[in-house]
Amino acid sequence: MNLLILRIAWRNIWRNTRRTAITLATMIICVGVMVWMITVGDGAHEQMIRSALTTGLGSIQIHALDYQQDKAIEKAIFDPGPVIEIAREAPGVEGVSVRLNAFGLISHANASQGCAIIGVDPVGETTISVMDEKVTEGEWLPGTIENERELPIVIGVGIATKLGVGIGDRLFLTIQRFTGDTGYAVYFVKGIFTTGMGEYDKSIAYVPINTLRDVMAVDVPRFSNAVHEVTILLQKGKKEIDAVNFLTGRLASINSQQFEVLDWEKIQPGLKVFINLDNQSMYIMMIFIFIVVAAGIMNTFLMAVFERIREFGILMSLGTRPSSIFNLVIIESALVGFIGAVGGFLFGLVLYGINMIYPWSFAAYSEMGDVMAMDWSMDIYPQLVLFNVMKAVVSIFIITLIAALYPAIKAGSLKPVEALRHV
Amino acid sequence: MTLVELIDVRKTYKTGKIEYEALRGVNFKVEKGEFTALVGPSGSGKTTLLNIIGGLDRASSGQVIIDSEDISGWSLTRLSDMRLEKIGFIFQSYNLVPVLTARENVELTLLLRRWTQSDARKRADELLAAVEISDMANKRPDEMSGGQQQRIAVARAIADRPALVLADEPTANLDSKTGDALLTIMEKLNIDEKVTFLFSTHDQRVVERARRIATLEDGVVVNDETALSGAGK
Repeated sequence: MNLLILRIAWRNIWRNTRRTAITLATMIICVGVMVWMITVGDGAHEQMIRSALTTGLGSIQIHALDYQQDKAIEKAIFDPGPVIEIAREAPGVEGVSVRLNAFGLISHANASQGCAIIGVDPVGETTISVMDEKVTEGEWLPGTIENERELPIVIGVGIATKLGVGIGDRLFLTIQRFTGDTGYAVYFVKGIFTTGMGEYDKSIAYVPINTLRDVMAVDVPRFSNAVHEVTILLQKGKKEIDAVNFLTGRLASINSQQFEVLDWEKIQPGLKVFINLDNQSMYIMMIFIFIVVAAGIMNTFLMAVFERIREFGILMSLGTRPSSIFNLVIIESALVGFIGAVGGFLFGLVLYGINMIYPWSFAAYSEMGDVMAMDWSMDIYPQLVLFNVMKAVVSIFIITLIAALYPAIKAGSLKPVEALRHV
Repeated sequence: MTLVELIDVRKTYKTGKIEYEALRGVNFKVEKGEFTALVGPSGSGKTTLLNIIGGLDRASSGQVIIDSEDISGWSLTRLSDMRLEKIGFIFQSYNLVPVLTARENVELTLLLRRWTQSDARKRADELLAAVEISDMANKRPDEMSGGQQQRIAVARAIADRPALVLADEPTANLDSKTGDALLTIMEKLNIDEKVTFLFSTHDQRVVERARRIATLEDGVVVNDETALSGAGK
């Protein structure tokens, strides 16, 4: 019997070919565009996150306890060796490095610029960030310093422009020391980087961590090995929570100091908020699509039910139960919903494929990078996260069934004699 | 053995404030195996009576007893099950399911009664042969003439040998030759398969073949007689 009901439902769908074709076309276009927009959103978010993570943020940072709260320079990890060892064992680790953060003034001739001076392990830093690849003039920091009288510094293009300096120029740095007084050092411009994030390029300078420590830790032997961050980059797709749990557990065994283990969402909540907001706007768009699809389906099935009232009367006269009439309409809507959802999914994949070949370019909007901590000079590729896409496709299918409920209830509640009299 | 018994059955239709009494206390019985014609002028209540007996409509008052069970207060679902089990319908306007072929229309009632697909197919083919329309088995209703469609409707109505077939003006839309042929088929089914037929009709040919003729006027049975001629003669 179920096969016959299915046969009746299938043939009913195609009784009014034009109407069904229009309904299906609407569904396929709506679902296709929705699927594509989801892949674009997921791709942009993934690139945004990856860009932020590899431009200094890292996936996870280990600090001395409460460092994140006020970034006070004395809240340092005094013995980073064991912490680094533990960090390297965390699940999904791609790279680990250390950083020492200071604030200072960089001067050249009569010009000066306040900025963050970040002491890094030149080699280790390349395993957790792409800053070495962002050097557009000169070179990244060398692994070993050949000439102690020519300490290297890599500065953002904004600083270089402001100070009017180029490769090889001498910079005078005024740096706050751990003791609270001021230290001084002379560096030579080794490289100039351009991230595409204007604010970043105007306010960051990188120096070898040992040279910065030499300035900051004079007369305070306790800080002679100090770092502020042990920064970890996880492999793509690995979950921060697993590594955070691992690190939190293992670091508790170090008795000399307490630490905080923070994932990127806690370090830079603004990025997460932006992604959430973007997702919200995507959901609003999806709701509109759902409304369009639901209205189309309800209209189609109300018309179909109205046209077939007499036929339902015939089926009832043969002994078909009202519930079976209800089921028949629901099965018809399920068939339309299935074809529309699957067709839309495939259409969305086509749009996704085209977009993979011709990615979005937002180079013209690079100033947005200041807001979203992202290098907008990159092309944006869509990303197919099957779970997210299927959520939307299945939702559309369910919406179709819900939209057909009213027509189905109407059909199922017809009185046989009135239905048979209907012209 | 009594198959249908109506006791003081009344039916009132309301259109706004206007009430119309289609049946005014009908008392009527149909015995198993009968070939009965219900006659009367238009508006006398014949179709209403058939609809009430078939559970398609409800009486406003009175008792409707089918096969010893009073169906008056039954739910739509229970009435559907009763029709499925006991009653076959033949309508004036054929009322085939338009998206199904002739064979599938006949199979439909059998599959509703949980026959297997292969048994239903076999029985449908037998019936199509009995109503002499096997060659149209794979045609849809819109590809058939009125007479052909009504033959399918007859085959469908008797597919699972229902206790009662209610035929509402079955020959009204057919030419005399087709009508006669169809009546012959129904007479044969009545005799061979012991199917009880209750017709509502204006058609003299039906009246001539009926073994019992009940006359309805203004919602009341005014005459009920066993015919001198007819199928059982």
